[in-house]
Amino acid sequence: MAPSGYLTVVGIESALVSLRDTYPSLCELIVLPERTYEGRVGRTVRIGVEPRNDKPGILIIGGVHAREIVNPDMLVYFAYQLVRAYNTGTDLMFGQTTYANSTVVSIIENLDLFIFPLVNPDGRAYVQSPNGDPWWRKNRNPNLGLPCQGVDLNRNFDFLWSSGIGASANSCSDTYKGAAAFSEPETRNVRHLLDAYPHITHLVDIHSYSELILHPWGDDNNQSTNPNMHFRDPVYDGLRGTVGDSTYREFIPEDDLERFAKIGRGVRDAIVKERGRAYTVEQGIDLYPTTGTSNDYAYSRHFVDGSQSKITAYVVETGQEFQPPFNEAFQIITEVCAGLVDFIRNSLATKT
Amino acid sequence: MSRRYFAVVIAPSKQALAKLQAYDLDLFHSTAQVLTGLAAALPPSGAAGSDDGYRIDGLITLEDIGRLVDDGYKVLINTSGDQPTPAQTETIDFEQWLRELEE
Repeated sequence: MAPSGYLTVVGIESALVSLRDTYPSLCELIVLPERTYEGRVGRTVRIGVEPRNDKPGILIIGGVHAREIVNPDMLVYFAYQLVRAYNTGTDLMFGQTTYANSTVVSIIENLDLFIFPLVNPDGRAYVQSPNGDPWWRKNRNPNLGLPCQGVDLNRNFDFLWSSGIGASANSCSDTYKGAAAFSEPETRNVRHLLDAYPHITHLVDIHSYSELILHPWGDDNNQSTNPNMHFRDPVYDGLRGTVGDSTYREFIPEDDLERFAKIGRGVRDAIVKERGRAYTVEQGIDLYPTTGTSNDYAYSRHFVDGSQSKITAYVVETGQEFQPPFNEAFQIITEVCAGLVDFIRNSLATKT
Repeated sequence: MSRRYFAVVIAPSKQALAKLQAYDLDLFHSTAQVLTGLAAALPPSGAAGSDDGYRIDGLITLEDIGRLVDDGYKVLINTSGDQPTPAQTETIDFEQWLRELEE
């Protein structure tokens, strides 16, 4: 039925190993190349029948920010329920919603699904420790020579990293962007997945909180009329990051924008069916600009290098608090899992 | 570490909201919202009334709150951030998790 509490870091690692051991024909365990500062190993489960690089790939990540405790449990639960339904030939149920087994079969047999539930295991361990800080956000980089510990991993990806927009160069800040783009092993592990599996065309990074479904861009308002005004052109350095002005706006092709909105609405509609929680689909910037985020980096890759796959990338901000009591967390888990099924189905049906 | 509080910071304008970045506080960017129409969602003592403005949640110290208020922001304190949380008190290991899933 329903678990009664949050998994520990070891529990999440055990769950991924157990998935591989219990369903070896469906689940491959990918051990990521970079160990964390405290020596932990990042693990991703790759789900599919005969996973092949000619199938569309979807990457779902969670646990980037340590205190956002619900989402790693969500992704482990999602993986288990999906694989169990396929293995037993049964329908898939998330809360009030039942997906026919044919949907499960379609996902497992037509997709290469990568789930990386805990990008920042050191951070979660610190959050869950009696001697830790339950509201810790960053990783546990000691930042030798600097006054404070930790890097905000979702400011450390290589998208306008040097601009510092919506990020901090102060190690004591909760949005400290690190010493360089991809200075952190945890972000390099995410990049490794995108590099090693170039058929990944969709990404969701699950965060908390605010009940939002966010799509690029995060650095400035979007525009689809001037393709020459874009993040790669240094002539615009220093002009980005002011919400609502007309000095600079980030270019996004109109058909991409429509696809982002369409898939996002599908996720929203699946979530609201569960218990009426109405998530909002919007551009990442909304009122606060950001750079160095996972989804902007993933989507930006094909602009930087035309040989890269275009990755339709989102951030979902789940729930209304970082650490709800687990009975509420489980409601969030089931409603967002329903959204993820819809995301996967729509991603399969929508060409990039 | 100084005691921290979950709080709502209310900025009178979009420019004031943007300027909050310079304080390097633990503000939750995704919670930034236009205040119009949200006044009812604030606690009854909400200092914002029904005026337009912007709100953002954060985890901040009394010292930070003092700086913000001195600079023209309004701050509504919700709860202390120093209590044990479900992340620490409601944890289970994988064996229990799997057993409960399969019940």
